[in-house]
Amino acid sequence: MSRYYYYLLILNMLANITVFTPKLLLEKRTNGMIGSLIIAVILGITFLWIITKIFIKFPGRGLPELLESYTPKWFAKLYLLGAGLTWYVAGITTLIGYSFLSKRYLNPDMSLTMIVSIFLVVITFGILMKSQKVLYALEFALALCAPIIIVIIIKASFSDSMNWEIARMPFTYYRNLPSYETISVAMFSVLGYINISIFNREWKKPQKLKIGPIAGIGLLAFINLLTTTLIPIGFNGIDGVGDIVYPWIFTSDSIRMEFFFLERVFIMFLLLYLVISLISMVIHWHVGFQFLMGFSTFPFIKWKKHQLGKYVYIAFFWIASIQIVNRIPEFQAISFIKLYLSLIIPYITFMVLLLFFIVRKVKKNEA
Amino acid sequence: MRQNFLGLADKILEQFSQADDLIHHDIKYNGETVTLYFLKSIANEDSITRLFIKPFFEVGNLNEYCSYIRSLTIFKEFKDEDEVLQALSIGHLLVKVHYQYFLFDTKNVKNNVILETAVETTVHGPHTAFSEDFETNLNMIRHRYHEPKLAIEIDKIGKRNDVNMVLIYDPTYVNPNTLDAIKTDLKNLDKSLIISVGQLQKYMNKKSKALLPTTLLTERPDRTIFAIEKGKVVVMIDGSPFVLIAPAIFYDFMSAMDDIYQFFWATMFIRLLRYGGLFLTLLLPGLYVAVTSYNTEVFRVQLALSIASSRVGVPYPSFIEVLFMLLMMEFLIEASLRLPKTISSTATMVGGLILGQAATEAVLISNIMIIIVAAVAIANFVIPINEMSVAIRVLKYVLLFTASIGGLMGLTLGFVMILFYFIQVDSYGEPYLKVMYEKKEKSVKGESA
Repeated sequence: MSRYYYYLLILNMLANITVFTPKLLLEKRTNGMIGSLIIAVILGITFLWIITKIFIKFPGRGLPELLESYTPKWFAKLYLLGAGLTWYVAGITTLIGYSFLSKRYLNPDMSLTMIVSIFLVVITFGILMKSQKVLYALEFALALCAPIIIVIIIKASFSDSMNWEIARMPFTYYRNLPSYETISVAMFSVLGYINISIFNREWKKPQKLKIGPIAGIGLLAFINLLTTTLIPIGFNGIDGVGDIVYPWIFTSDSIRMEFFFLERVFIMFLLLYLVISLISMVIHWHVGFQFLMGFSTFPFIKWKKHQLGKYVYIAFFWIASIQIVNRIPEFQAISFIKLYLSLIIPYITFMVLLLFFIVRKVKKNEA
Repeated sequence: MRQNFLGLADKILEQFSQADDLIHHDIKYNGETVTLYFLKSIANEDSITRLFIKPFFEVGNLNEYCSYIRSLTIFKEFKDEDEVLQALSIGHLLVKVHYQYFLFDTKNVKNNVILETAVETTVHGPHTAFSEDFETNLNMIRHRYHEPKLAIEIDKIGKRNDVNMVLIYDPTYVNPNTLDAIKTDLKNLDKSLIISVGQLQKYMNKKSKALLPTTLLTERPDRTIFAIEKGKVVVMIDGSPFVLIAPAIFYDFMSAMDDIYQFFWATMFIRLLRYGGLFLTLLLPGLYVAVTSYNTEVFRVQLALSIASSRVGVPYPSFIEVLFMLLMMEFLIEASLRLPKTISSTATMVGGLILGQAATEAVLISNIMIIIVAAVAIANFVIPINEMSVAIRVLKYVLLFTASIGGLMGLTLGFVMILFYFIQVDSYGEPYLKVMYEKKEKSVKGESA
């Protein structure tokens, strides 16, 4: 596969440390969490394999093009509208999380509307770029942030405040049954492949999916989920970690760099994750935006030869985001995100069935 | 040499009636007459005497003389009268033998002196830059790049001044799509006066309002050769000591020729320094505002306290302080750029030393601000190519603005925004900024991502 495919996978793994995922995972830390993580990775990699395998049969074509040629028009439109909104919500979960985070730690004096607007300016610019350029931006963000994030995680693992005895405790609850909720939340970290449904347009040459790298990705995802959950446990204690809304922010604020010009790792961590979450939002919304453009481009809205259809969606993104962030209080946002994430498995199952249907139709047409 | 240009001589005299430097000179020998027309100011009189006047007296027979002058390598064919008039104005010689006309290229170029490098200097590389004459420059390129396939296409550009433009590329390496795009762009250029390559650089940028240079100007022959070998297209204009290289990507603007001449680790170090300078000059003003006005907890407490104590008594918020000093610095740079050399040193002295010193003593700005402004100015000069360094100079105000609005968050988001801006630019099909570029063979075939 193209290297950008792996970037998409890695981005989701990195992005899952931000905001609410660790909290949602840690809720079940003494309740079959480890089992859930293992199941989530296996399930996630299975879906990854199936979906990617189908998409590389159609080089240079994204989901909108496939739907257009192989399904009825009403279904394609409906599906694209639904998918566009789904991806929009995926982006907004990050936006909600990070704007609360910024309000609390970076800019307490600024109103939420202002914070969200600043985000939206940059994101709007990002989603209007070409798909290829979005991938370049992703590569850049990862190249800038990933090395420092890895250093922080390593530093956290070897820190004096990290108690590995306690971090091992979730393993002792292996007899408890895994829970559906935790599985679906953990699935998010191996969900990056799903963006192939738009970015497949950029991979015009035939690609090959190999077992080796994907197995590596599976292992990486598992390690990533373990560090996401175990390091906060090791720092804050298996009981204490449950009371914390942002376990990783707390954890990073417990690490000091004595001889660096920035003493608190916390601030570096926040800024790095600002970039990571931003690029993650740009990716999600770019994909959602492309789906919506597949739904309709509003060709009748124009001004002096300029097609303005796409700005309808941008306006919708802006208004909806500012409304949602202002209306939903933080604790409700968490349960809302939990609900959203628990819909991942049904959604992907449906998508897989749809793709199977398309493949069957293609074979029929060929026969 | 056709015979049907009966009124040509009269037309020349009429058109050039106000040009006192027109010479129309009859030479007579043995009852035969030959008339020479040329502009004294631009034609080479020596070679005219040597090649045309002396032989006339030695040969003595008009037929032999005609076949002699037609065998000269500087002999030019022409189609109509306008072409002759045009040719005379750029230093050609017209010879009239009875009713036959012969045209010769006897241009005398005064600006073919090879210059010292003034803008891009290196330690170890060649110290010569291009001259202002394109033929001398072609000579310099050919001299360094021995490749029989090298394409040199000479054309005219500019409706009114009709100046010589040369397109140079190596057909083995150049991407044909890029070449076509550049040629169409040059063809569609609808300007009456083209004076320098800098103008071309501006017009060839697709957007009417652009900040980032997508083509590179250089005065160095070695950089030009390097670019040709990398498959780029070089555009040269007569009378301009710079050549234009297209396409150009961000990394081209961050590399100096010294990078090739020095050892690996030395080069790596210098590159690192350059990117350090880039980040410093971009981020420092914004960072100062963010750290003093929004996120004071970022630095270790000693540093936070010393910044705060140096700001005691400063009446303005930090962004005004930064803006004030940065603008002073920009005035200083602009002033010292255009002033006569003898005055400019005084200006920098007064501006830099006295103004800075007095401003801190008057507690208009903090001491640390002076350090920051100086660091920003110096770091900006580390960027090797001037166009990029000016673009960065502008962009740091964008970051200052976003930092003034949103503190560290604004600074980071502004930085990402600038990153997006760089990434979405294209230079003739080549992505402007990308972490890794594919191997040349791949990019030539137009396959990417």
